[in-house]
Amino acid sequence: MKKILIANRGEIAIRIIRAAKELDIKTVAVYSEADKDSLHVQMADEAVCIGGASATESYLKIPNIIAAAEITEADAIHPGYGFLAENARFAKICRIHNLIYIGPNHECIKNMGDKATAREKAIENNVPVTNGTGIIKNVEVAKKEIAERIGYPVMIKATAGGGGKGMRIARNDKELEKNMVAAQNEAEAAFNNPDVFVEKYVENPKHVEIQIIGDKHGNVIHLGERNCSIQRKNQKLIEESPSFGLPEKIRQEMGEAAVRLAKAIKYDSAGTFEFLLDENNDFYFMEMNTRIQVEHTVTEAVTGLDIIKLQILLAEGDILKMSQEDIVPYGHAIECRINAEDTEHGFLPCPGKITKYIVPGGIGVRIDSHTYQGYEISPYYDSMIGKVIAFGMDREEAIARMKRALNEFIIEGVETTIPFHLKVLENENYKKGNVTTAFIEKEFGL
Amino acid sequence: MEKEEIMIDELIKILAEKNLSEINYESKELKIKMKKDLVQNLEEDIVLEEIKEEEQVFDYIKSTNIGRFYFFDKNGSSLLNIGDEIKVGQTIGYISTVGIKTPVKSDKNGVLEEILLKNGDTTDYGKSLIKIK
Repeated sequence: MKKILIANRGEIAIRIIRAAKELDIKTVAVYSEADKDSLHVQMADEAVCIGGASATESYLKIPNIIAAAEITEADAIHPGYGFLAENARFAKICRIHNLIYIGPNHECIKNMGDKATAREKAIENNVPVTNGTGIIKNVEVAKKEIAERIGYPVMIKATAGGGGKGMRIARNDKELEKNMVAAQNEAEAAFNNPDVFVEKYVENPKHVEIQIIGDKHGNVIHLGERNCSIQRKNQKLIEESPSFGLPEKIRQEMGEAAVRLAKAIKYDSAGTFEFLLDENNDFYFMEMNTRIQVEHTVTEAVTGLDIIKLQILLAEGDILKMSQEDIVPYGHAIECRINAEDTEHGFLPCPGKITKYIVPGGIGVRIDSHTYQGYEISPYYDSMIGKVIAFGMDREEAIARMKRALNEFIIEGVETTIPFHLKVLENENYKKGNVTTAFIEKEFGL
Repeated sequence: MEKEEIMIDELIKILAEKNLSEINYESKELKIKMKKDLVQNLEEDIVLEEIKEEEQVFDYIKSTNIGRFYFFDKNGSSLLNIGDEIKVGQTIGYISTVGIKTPVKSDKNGVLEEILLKNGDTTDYGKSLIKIK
């Protein structure tokens, strides 16, 4: 691999440029007209403007991205996360154009991207899932199935869903009827596919996910787990590794289940299996993310591995040089996503110019960001300013370090989520690890 | 005193004509020192030039595609020659991407002033291809 085109923007584009530089591989940034002053454009070896500000005219426009790869003679494409990162068609088109797609093969993206198929694959491979239905054709049949073998409450899910879209809880037949139509309409609008299914709703679960990595030769290992229970409306705010309060036996079982399923589907890159863990520590497969995730950094902190570099090397066909026994995570890492949002007013995005920007530093602090003083957060994309990752020898030290880092972080010109993160870090239940996905709602009424 | 006045007039003339910033004249009875602010004059010149530049209104036909820009037809003759009249809807060249040639049509009327790319050069989205006036 000589030159990687990064089909993304923001902090993840910079993260990939950094990994490529260390591997002595050239990089091509693509950008929209709104992003011409972005840091990824300046940091890459080359940059190509691929379209207008709206993502559909640029970062989602496959022909323009392929054309940019052609004129710059890039031989590989990294999709980052979001945009085209889980688009099986894009991965296939890259291969047709002889471009190495730095991610899994398109069959994996297609199969695991469809939640109903992913569920089937999990069942086939003895990975626990909650009781549920297939795609619902008729609400009366669904009611009968729920009554006979599932029981309320249930979660209605869009099979093409993601990011919390097309998801609704139903606690009785009446709610099922009403919310199913709402979920179908939302799924149709967001994913162009109205298919939904129903799963038993796990009350007050923990969100624990397993990072796996596989090569093109059938080798798969996991890199431990992350706890991402601190969420607001299904959007993760704080992620940690390892998961606190998780019995070693369960940790091991979850890791083995993830590796088993990944091997069965011939998974050949970095990926994440998301599980829900109930009050009895029973775990259920929820979905797979066939891409790098925002929170990969906490796994990097506790394993010492560079997951993006691994993705690049394995996409070239390298053999995974480590075994499961080599992975011995140590310490504790926390990531806070810093967004330009007004936490006092419904987390409303606050695009605008950053007039002052001083980043924290010191032992155990990592900042992944595309922001600089004078940078303008665009209203066209997500409102992320950057990610702060704090590492400590244990959770207590990591929390103290994160608080210190957030207090050092000076961002002026836009509202940020930093004050809210500090409130969470001070919360007694958070400190004790009494955290489920309902934490933000319960503790802060949000 | 008359001689002095003549002298001063002469010096002013020299200062203006020779584009000098300072003249010192000294004799037994007379000492004259003259200074001129060249910067101010220069600024005035620049302003004048800018106004001139603005009078020349140029337009640009920009690329809405990414690829290689070709303006020679298959017989090897150029579709574009300086001084040509360019009309709205006229094909001014092609952008070739992944083996597909897309014609570039002008969205403006004008006279071709400059071709900004060489035949076969790469272009990204929004790059100016030709200059017209």
